[in-house]
Amino acid sequence: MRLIIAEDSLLAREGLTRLLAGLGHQVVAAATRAEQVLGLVARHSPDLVVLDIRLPPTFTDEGLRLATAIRRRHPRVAALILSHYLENSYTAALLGEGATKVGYLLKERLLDARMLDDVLHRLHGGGTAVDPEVVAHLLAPRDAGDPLARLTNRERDVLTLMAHGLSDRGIADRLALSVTTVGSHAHSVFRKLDIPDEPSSNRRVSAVLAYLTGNRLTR
Amino acid sequence: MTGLPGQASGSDAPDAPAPTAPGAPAPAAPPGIPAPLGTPAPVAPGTPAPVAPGAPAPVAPGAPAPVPPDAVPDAGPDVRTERWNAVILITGLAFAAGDAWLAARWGTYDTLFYGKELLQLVVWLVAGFLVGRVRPRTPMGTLMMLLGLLLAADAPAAFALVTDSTLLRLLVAAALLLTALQLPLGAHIFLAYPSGTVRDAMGRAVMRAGYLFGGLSALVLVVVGPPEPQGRCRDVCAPMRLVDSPALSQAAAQVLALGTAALVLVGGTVIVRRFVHAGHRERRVLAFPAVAMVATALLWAVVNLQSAAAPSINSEQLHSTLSLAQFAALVAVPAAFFLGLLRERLDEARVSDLVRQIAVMPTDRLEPALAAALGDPHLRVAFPVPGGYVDASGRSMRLPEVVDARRTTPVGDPLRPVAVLLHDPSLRTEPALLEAVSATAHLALENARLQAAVRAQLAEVRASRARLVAAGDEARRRLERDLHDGAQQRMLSAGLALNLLRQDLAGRRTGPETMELLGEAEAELHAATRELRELARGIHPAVLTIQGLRAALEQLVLRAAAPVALRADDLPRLGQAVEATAYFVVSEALTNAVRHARAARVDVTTALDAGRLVVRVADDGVGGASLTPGSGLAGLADRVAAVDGVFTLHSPPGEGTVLTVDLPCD
Repeated sequence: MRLIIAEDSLLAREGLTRLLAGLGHQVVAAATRAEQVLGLVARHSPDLVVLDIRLPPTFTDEGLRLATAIRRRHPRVAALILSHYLENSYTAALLGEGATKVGYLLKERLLDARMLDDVLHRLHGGGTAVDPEVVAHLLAPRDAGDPLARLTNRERDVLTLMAHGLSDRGIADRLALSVTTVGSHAHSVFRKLDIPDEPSSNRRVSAVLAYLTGNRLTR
Repeated sequence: MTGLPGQASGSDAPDAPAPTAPGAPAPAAPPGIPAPLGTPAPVAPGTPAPVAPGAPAPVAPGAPAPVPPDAVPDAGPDVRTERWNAVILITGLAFAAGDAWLAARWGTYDTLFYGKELLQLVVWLVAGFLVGRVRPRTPMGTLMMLLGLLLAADAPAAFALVTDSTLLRLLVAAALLLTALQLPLGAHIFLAYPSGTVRDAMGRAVMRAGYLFGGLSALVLVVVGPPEPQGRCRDVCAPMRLVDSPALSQAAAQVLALGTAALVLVGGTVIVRRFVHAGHRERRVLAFPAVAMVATALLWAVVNLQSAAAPSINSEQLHSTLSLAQFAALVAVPAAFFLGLLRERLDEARVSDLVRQIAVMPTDRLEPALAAALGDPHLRVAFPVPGGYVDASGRSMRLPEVVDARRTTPVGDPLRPVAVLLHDPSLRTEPALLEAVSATAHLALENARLQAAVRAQLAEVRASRARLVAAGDEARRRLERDLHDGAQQRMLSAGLALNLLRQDLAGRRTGPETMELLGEAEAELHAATRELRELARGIHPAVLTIQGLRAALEQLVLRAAAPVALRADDLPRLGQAVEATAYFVVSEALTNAVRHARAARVDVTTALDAGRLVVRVADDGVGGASLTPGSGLAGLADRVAAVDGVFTLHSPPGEGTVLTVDLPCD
C-alpha cells in the first residue's frame, strides 16, 4: 500500500514510518503540518493517509477536518485518524452518514502491528474502523432496564464487532461463524434494540453508534 | 436720582416756561414767581413742618443703625436689621407722602415729573427692603433703603416750590444741602454691590472721595447756594444763601459739576473693571446691575459735563430724552440689585437643601446632589484610592492628564483630598459657593470615598479571583496538551522501539525470559499510556476546548456509572471560564451522586436563557450534602462565585440532591 503520514512529532513520525515499512507498506510522503496534507495527497495519490488528530497550527482537531476534506475531494483515498482522545464524539463526526474508508484508532494501537495492518487493509477495502476502547463503555448495560441487557452473549459480540466497523464477513471470520449466522444474529440485535436495519454495512456502523450513544444519554 | 438742583436741572425738570410742554402746570401757580430772595413767604396752612425738618436726622449715611443693643436683648442680628429696615421703610414712605403733599400744594411742574420723582424713591425703598429680606446678613438692603430715604428727604429741593413761607424756604434749603449726599451714597451702594461692603482698595478710595466731595458740595451750597434760577424759577425758587452772588454761585456750580462728572466716571470705570474680571457665573449676578449702573453713571456724567461746559444749551428735546433715560436707568438699578441677589440667594438655597439632605443621603445619590447644588449637571466626583481614582461605585476613573485647576476642586486637604470635584470651569469663579458645598459635603464625601475604596477593592478581588480561575484553566489546558505532546509521544516512541526490537528478536535465538520481559514492558507501557490519557482528560478534557460544553457533557454522561439523562440545549460556544465551570460542576456532581449519594438515577439539564446558563444536576440519592470547607462542592461554589455565578445546593437528608448553578455569559 502507498501511504502518506501526517505527524508533527519527529519520534512518532520516524517510528511510524519504520513500522509501516516493516508491514510491507511504502510511505511516499510525510507532512508535519495540516496545511501540507492536501497538496501531498493531490501530488502522490496515495492509497491511504495516516493522520495524527492534533496537528499544527492549532493542535486541536486538524486530523478530523483533513479526513473529511480528503473524503470529499479524493473519495478513492482512505484516511486513518490516530488520536489521543477516547471521546466518541469525534468518531461520530468522522463517520457521519455512511462514510467509507475512514477509521479512528487510539495512538497506542501503533504498538499492535497486526491490528494496525488489519485496519489498514479494511479501510483500503472500503470498510470503516472504530477503536474498540472508544465504544467499549457504550456496550455494557447500565441496569436491568437497559435494552442492551436483553441481548444474548453472542448477539452482544456481534453488536460489538459491528460497532468496531466490521462487516458481516469480517465478523464471521473473527467469530468463526458462517456469514449467514452472523446475519441472523445481526437481525435479532436490530429487532431487540429497535434499530432500523441498514443494507450497507457502513451505514450500519453509524446507525449502531448513534443508537448506543442515544441509549446512554437519554436513560 | 435727581441731579444736583440747579446744575442738572435740565435733565430732570421740565424746562423753563413751557407753553409747549404738554401738561405743564398752568401759570396759575401761586403769585410772586419768582419770589425775590429773602422775601418772607407766608407759611401756608398745613406746612409739612413736622415732616421735613426732622427728616435728615436718622439718615446720616454710613452711620450704623443707632438702635441700642438692649432694646431688643434677645433678638438676633437678623431681627434687629429687619426691624430697623421696617422703621426706615415707614419713615421713607411718610416722607414720600409729605413730598407728594408739598408738590400738590406748591409745585409748579406737571404731575408726571413729581410722579417720576416719587416713584424713583419708592422703588429704592421697596427694593432695599426686599434685598434686606433676601440677604439679611449684609448691609446691602439697608444701604439701598437709606438712599431711598435720602431721596425722599431731599426731593423738595428739586420741586420748584413757589412759596413765600420762610419755613418752606428753610425746608427747601435743608433739602438742597442733603442733595450733596446723593452722589457719595449712590456711589457707595454701586461699589458695594453685591456684598454690601466695598472690598477693593480702588472702590474704597472712590467712596471716600465721594463723601469728601459731598461734604464740600454741601458747604458750597450753604455759602453760595444753587445757581441763579433761570426761566420759571428752575428747580429752586427763592433759594436761601449766605453770600448772594449769582456769578459766584454759577461758577461754583460749574466746578462742582465737573467734579461730579469726574467722580462718576472713575466710579463707573471701577465697576466696568470689576465686571470684566468677574467669572462667567459671577457675571450672571453682576451683568444687569452693572449695565444699569454704568448707564446711570454715564448719563449723570453727561448731564453734569453739559451743564458745566455749556449751560446755555437748553434743547428741550435733549433734556427730555436724557431725563427719561436717566429715570429708566435709575429705576432699573435697584430692581436689578434685587433680582441679582435673589438669584444668588437661590444658589444658596440649593446649598442649604444639600445641608439638610446630605446626612441621610445614600452615597450613590451624592454626585447628582452636588451637581444640583452647584448647578453643573456634568459634575463628577472622583475619589482618590491607592493607584488612581474611582467613582462612587468603585469603578476606576481616569482623570484628565493635565490637571486643570479651573475644572478640579479638591475637597479637604488639597494634598490629600477626600474627593476631587470635576466641574465646569465657570464654577471656579464662585469660590464661596464651591467652598460652601465642599465644606457641607466633606464628611459625606469622606464616607463615600471609604465605601468607594471598599467597592474598588471588592471589584479588584473579584477580578483577581476570576483571573486566578482563568489562569488555572489555562494552566490545566497547557498541562493536558503537554502530556499529549510530550510524555505520551515519548511513551509511544518507546513502544515503537520495543516493537522493532520484537521484530528484530523474532529472527534470532533468544531465551523465553527475554520475550517474556519484552511482553511485560509492552504491557506496562500500554497501562501507563492509558493512565496518562485518563489523567490528561481529568486535568482538562480536550473535547471541551475543541467541541464545546454540550459534547463534553455528553462524554461525562456516557461514562457515568449510573444512568444519567442529559437534557441540554444546543449551546453556542460560551466563554472558556463559563464552559469549564459548568463542566466541572457537572463532573463533580455526577461523581458525588454515584460515589457518595448512591443515586440510581441522575438528571442533568442545561439551559441558556437571557444570557445566563443554568445548569441543574438532580439525583435521587441519600441527600444531606453540604458545603464542608475543603470539600469538592465548596471548591465548586468558590469557582462559580469567581465567575459571578450563583451556586445553589438543596440536599435534605433522604430526599436526593439538587445542585443548580446560574452563570452569566456576558
